[in-house]
Amino acid sequence: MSLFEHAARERFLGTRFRALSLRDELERLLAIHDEVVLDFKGVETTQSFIDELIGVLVLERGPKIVERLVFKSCSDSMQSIINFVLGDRIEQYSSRHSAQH
Amino acid sequence: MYNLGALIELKNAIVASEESGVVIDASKLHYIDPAGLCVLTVLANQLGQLDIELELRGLIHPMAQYLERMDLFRNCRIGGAPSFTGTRRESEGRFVELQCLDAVRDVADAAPKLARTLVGKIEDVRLDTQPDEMTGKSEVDLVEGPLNYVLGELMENALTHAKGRGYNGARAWIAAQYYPTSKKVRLAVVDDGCGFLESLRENKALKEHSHIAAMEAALEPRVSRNRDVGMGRDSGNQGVGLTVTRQIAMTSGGFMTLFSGDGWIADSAGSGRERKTIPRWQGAGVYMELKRESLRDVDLGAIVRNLPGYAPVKGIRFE
Repeated sequence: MSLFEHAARERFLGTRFRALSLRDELERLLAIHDEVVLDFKGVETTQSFIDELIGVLVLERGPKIVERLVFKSCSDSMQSIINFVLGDRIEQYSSRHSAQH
Repeated sequence: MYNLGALIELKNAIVASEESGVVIDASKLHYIDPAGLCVLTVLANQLGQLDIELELRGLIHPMAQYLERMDLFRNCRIGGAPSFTGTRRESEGRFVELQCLDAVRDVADAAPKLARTLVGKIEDVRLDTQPDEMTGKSEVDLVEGPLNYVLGELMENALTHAKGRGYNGARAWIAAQYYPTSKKVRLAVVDDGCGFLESLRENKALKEHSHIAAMEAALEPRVSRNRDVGMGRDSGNQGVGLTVTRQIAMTSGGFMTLFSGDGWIADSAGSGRERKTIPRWQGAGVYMELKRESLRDVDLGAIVRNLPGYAPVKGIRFE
């Protein structure tokens, strides 16, 4: 299931606010599918956007959520941004949970 | 112009004067840059709210046209309004209209529109160029991408942080200009909110309680007011928006200046950091210059990979 089908005409997605509605859709898809494909063909975003879209999910649900996501057609910069956001939030989640134990 | 400190000092003095009318000798005002335009607009707004009549005396015709185009005179009463006839024309720079935003939700549309308008002012970029077969990107994409990133981050940052600490009514003003002679883009995002120091006052990264220290902390990666906010809907920021934006300015051979409270810092490509004290500004301002010819060479992927602690995450599936 492609998340960005309806956002395809937006070649740049730049704000956390814009990510909020897309994250709602992503969560809806995750509730009914084991795996969700995020197709970034022709799309560039900021780190803030990716953090709001999927960084929040990592903080809420833990790193395992990443196993259910497939990132498709990402440019080099998009791959770097996604790596950075997930790495940072996974580390933050792990620190938070090891501190609690 | 250009002396931002003097303009801020003038603004503060006028607002504090409690006069019913103010006359400014504007006969020597020949040029104003985006940051100065934002500051002047905040002044005009504040005077309008205080019902203080402002007269810009002796304003030369081209400058009057500029300021009228920017709707500077809309929010305050102007005595001796400049009279001019004829059609509006552009002067040496190619201004994009000054914008005022007061809601984060407006940034999502405003930032890409502004980036596209700026790109449209650059004479050697055709908006209908086709993407390169190898990279999939057109010349427009290469120039517009960094502008989109910078504007989106700065505008959303300004409105998000400015409205913290009870400054619910804070607004952000954005102005931008392309200079065809020097092939540079300058843009400014200025707000009247809580400022960097108030925003970061409890942050461990703040080395001392000063406006300069707060701005320097904000430029460090992973420093943000709400980075460690609790889990749930409000994720907070990762604290790298300004860090990456600064790197885009440096990579493009430009500069980035921050001002807030009584602090001012400036980073320029190839130079060290300058710091100074200025008359107090309630809020924050970011002022950037990007060189047009270097914009296409901004490698956002490389900038992100150079962030401290970056490492590829195992298990991410890219297809």
